[in-house]
Amino acid sequence: MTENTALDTIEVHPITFPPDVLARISPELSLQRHLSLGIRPCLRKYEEFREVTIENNTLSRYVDTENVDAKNNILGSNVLKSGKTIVITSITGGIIEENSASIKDLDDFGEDELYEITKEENVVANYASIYPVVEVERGRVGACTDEEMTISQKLYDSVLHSRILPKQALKVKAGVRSVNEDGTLSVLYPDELENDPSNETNLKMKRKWSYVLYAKIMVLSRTGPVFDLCWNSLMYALQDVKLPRAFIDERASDLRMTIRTRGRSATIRETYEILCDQTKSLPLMINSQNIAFASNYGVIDLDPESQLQDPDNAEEEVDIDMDEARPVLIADLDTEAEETSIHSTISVIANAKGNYTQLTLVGAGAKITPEMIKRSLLLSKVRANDLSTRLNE
Amino acid sequence: MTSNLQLPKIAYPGKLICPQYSTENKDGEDVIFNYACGPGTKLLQYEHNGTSLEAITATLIGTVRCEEVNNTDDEEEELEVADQSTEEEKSVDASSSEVVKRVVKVIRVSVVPGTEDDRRTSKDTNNDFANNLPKEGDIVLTRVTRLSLQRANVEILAVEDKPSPIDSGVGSNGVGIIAAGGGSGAATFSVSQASSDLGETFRGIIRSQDVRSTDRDRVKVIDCFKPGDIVRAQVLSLGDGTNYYLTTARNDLGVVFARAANGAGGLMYATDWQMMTSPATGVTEKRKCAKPF
Amino acid sequence: MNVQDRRRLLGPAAAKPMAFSYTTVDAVEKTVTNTPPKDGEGEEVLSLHTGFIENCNGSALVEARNSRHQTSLITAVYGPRSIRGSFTSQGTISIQLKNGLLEKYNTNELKEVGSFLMGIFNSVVNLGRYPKSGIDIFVYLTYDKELQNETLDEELQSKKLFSQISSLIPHCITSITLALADAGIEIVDMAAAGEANGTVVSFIKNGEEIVGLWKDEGDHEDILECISACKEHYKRYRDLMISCLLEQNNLDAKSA
Repeated sequence: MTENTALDTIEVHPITFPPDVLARISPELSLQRHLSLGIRPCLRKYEEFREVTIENNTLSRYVDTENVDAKNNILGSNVLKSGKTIVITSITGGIIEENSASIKDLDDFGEDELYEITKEENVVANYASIYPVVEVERGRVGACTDEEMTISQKLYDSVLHSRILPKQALKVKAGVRSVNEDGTLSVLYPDELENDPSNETNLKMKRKWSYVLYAKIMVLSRTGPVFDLCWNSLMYALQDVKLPRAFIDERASDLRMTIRTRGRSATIRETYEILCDQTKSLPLMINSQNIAFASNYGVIDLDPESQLQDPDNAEEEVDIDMDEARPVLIADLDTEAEETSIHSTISVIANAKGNYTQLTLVGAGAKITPEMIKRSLLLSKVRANDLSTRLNE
Repeated sequence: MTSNLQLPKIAYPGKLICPQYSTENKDGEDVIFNYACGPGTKLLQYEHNGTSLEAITATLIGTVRCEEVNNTDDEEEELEVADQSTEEEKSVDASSSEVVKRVVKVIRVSVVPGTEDDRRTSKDTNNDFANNLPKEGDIVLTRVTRLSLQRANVEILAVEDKPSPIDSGVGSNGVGIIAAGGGSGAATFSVSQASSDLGETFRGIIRSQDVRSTDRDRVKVIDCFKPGDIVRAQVLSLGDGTNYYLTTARNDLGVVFARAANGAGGLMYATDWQMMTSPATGVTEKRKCAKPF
Repeated sequence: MNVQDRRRLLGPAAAKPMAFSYTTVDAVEKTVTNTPPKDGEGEEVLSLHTGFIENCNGSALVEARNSRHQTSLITAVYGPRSIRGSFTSQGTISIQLKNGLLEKYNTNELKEVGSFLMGIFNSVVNLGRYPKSGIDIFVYLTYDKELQNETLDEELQSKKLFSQISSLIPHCITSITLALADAGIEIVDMAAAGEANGTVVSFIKNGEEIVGLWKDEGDHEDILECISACKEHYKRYRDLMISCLLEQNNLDAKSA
């Protein structure tokens, strides 16, 4: 190995760069140098996560239960800070009229076999999702980036398949607003009048509505991958959503039948408008046992060439290390260096009990070994356990 | 500094630092201090009680630093001539025969970010990139993006020894492939009104005749650079709207970091001025290397 | 909306945004009891922070709260970045205003304010130092809320919104100035502005020079009176900004 030692002398490069310049021109080398010291460029250890702080519901209209903010239409919110990154999630709502003709009612959909096949699908069909729009602020205007689109879609799919939002929870239990004899307006809700059954029957309506939830997720100060931050923030926000009570006017509920026979025209439908109660609200009933938290990992080979050697025993170590690259698991990727240099990633959504909802493996760089996957699953569980306690603090 | 004028230690934008000139009588000779604008300052006009004054104003937040500029001989002579003329005028005006010797000192006033202590510990990191856009003569670090027979196209990553702008990393516009959990930091940004005229990094061109100083006509660009190489270069001119014009025609300029096999292999090290070797595989490749020693 | 944006998940087209009734009786009762004491001219509490956004060169957060409303703005400064196209010997500035969580202002209004601010900062930033580059400034109107929950009819409310944007402009100017200073971009002075009756006047150089004037529909009262009222605000904001900057840069304000 004389050749190697000869090269080692050359390795003492006279052109030196300040650390931040090196990180800019050769992020990979900078990362390898850091890793060889046992730390990462962000000064965390390999398997150390960023600290997360959250503020729930501070932006919503129900932040002050005594005094509802009339002009605010946010039903639930979360501000999540992880390292330098800030994720602001706000959940707003809409109301959609349910189409009473469901698939089962359609004629000629009788084939049992097909029905059996789709039965599994139907489990998911009992659940709804939320429509997320992710905005990662990076000093741009114009169309959304592919990152924003992918994350939005992935959030939508993951919420749906995690079975967090049952469709039942989004049903509107509409009330009726009527004018009393003295000219004042009052709203009656069917479920609040159990002691007065005579009223309840009057309020039965054939038309049905359900709530639609939208999430606007704003990511400020993006320093690394953001999917798991968005997901976690959405999870926190969903747990505190309150749905406003909705009602329709007594007149409108009377009009209902006539309009249906005439068919729907836009001008007439306006009179139907369902209004939301200013103050009354019900908490959104989610499947809280399905709430899970996301975390991500990267796998990178330690490059033996980039190791900072102890000058005393440099020669021996070089001989040993030169041949094999040692892969390591890095938790919670952050910073430019890690993002550009680590191509093998693992992304997990898990809850504190160790139930896993999602696992994504991308092996574009170093080999992901089964041990790595096991380790990351274990870490995810620990992480989810930690994150799930944050809301109660 | 010999000036008796008390300059503020700390400045913020809009803070008046000093007038353009001040005088002082010392040991029988008049000393004129001519304050010149350095980085972080600007000469501005102010109205004060109906008269307009010119004063050096800070444009950055940080500590004030002043250093005496040693004029070259030519300039000094010129100044002396100028001095004499004004002196003569003055003496004529005052009809006094007393001749006072005058010394002109040019003092450059600049504002550098950070506190006094910061500056003492680290020498040169207090000039940030925002105020260090590449100028003529600057050494820059670049990455090769495209090659043709006539030139190499590069993107400028940093002005040597200056911190790089934070917002040109992956976080805002980088080149990541795929981020964990979907999406990539990089982007296929669709062209919108504002982003069509606001590019990403600053770009440059190294023309084939600027690659080396000898045998300039027979430069083969492909033998000197490969895409992805990190090249140390000097700015020739600001160039056109899109590109800076750069040169590597100096011994200490050229490729500083390169990976073997077009980026697939390991890091290579320069063995001489036109050869690089990968220590892991022993492969050699041609490059125009920056002086390794 | 016929054309759905297919790049974003906007939900079913038939869904309508929630419309809240403004005439619920008990809502009125509650808000009346919670109305803050009316000391109309109550001092504004301003809190300023800089440098908390990592992927831009400079950033600032301005939170203002007085008896009437509460505002929070985030400004991010990107650049100097390279431009494409022909050579420019000076830098160019672009300012974008964005609605935050509450989609309150329409885009035209925001654009108008953006170009007004651009006019101000073209004369404040030392553009000669930035050839061939553009400085992009983004202002996010994250939070903006009336504290008095007056239940007004819709018409009156839209009128109120109109006058509100002018009351936001001084805070925009404050936060942009702070963010520019944080980014280390050369500015000739700390620009700030004050608002009086829908008129916004922006000053530099200790109030000697006016760099911008915005007039909304409002009472046509003495313009000089307005200017002097704005100048008072300007001085207050400027002093606050300077002390904030010095503090956050660990510089001792006494030696300044």
